[in-house]
Amino acid sequence: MAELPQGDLKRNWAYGLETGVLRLPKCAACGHWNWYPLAACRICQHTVFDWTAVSSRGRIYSWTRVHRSFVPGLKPPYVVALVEPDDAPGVRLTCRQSETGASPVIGDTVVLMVGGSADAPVWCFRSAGCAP
Amino acid sequence: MSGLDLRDAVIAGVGEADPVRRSGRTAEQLALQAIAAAIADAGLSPGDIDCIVTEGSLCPAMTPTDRIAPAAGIVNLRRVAQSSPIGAGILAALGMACEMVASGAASHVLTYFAVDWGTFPAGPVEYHTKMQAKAIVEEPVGFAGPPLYFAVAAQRYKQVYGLSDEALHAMLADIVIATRANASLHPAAQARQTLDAVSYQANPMIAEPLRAADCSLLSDGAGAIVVSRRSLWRAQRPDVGLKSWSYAVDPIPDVDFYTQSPWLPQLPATSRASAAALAAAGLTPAEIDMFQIYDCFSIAIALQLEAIGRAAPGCTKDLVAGGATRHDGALPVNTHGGLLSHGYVLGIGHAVEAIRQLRGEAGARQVAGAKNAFVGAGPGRQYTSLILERRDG
Repeated sequence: MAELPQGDLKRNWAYGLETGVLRLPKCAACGHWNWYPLAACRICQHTVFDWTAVSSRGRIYSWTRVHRSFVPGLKPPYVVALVEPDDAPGVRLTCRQSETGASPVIGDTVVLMVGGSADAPVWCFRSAGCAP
Repeated sequence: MSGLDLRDAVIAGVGEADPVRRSGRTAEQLALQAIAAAIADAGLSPGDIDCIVTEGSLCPAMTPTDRIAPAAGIVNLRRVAQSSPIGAGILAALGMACEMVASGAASHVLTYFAVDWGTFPAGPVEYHTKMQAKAIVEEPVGFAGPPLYFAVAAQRYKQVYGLSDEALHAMLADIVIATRANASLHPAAQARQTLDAVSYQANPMIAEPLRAADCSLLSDGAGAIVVSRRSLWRAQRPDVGLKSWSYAVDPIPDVDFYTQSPWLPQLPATSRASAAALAAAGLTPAEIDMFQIYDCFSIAIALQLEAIGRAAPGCTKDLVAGGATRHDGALPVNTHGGLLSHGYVLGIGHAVEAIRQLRGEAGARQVAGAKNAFVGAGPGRQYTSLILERRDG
């Protein structure tokens, strides 16, 4: 079966979660972060992306606490946020609060980390203030 | 649209299959009911319809023209066209229908939309999850379901404009309670039981700050509209038509918008489409007699009123206080009850309501003396703004 451009997303996303390093697609020609990836860069129409590692720090763009489950197997309440990685401006990563607690504050710095379960790892965030 | 006179196009007929949670009928059957009613309302026969314009994503999948037209007896088609996806596309189809009539390309154009998401409530979620990034990136962390998209928009709205939790809560409550009051006066609305501050607050939280009553209903239902060339118009109903319209879209895929928009709480496409339509009509937002705008979630009303320019940024709370958006208030909004209380028919119901209001057919919820109406849908990467007018009496 022919490889679709988005086939890269599944493979690269799984690899990032496995290695614990957040990698995002960056246009190999103009350097624009393309999230979510399309078949070509939305700035220069180049068709090659480099999945580039970024630091684990970011800032809260927005968030909500979910009280009704929309995903089987995930028990509410839990907090999800859109986080802008410091190294990848313009990208908003959906992630879950590592331990549901205080409400996040828009603009606050957080640390991204792999959480969830061993067989279903996901990107999570925790407050940068309680870092070890 | 220089060279086109939209007054040559008259909205001659409207019809509905009233929204219910479970109709026991297919989307095609609902569409056919609304279409037959609209053609009869226009004083026409199915064979008079020579053009169909529809929304471009859900309609071809659920109620395709090649199956609907023969079942409706529409056998003399000379044009078939589709617009963009979902709400903005449903309204754009009406705009395109009026242009095709005004240009002389068609004589009697039909547009329709039907949905069976009351019977099949997974529909809205499935529409969004067909994008691969949702399944790979968003759903595994629990970021799924349309309420979350507007919950994060509401949180940004609160932060950017410095509202307290209490002020945001009060604004959403005002919007929901007034919408329900409007629906209570519509004999076919799905949710007609009025709410007060206490019963609103008793609604279960879905995704903070949105409660169940802040979220759209789920419905089976349909609407249809016939546009006729003035010289062929049977004049069975008052003279209502399109004064101006505009469509705008940002360069972002449809389902990416809700997590990847860099602009929230602003809606740039809504602002551009609305400014263009208002300028073409020669009207200011304050001169609009009623707003029928896409209320998939209560917060969407605030985002749109501000993007349209009817409210200053962050100031919707002052405008909607005290029930001002009721049909008899200073700022009538969604006088049929909208998606929140009338039914989730994705925008066709807003257009039908504006037409019935301008005709003077709205009964107990009639906006007195209304001469124009703003109808808008989208609110995401794309938006359609229609300005309808009453041309006689």
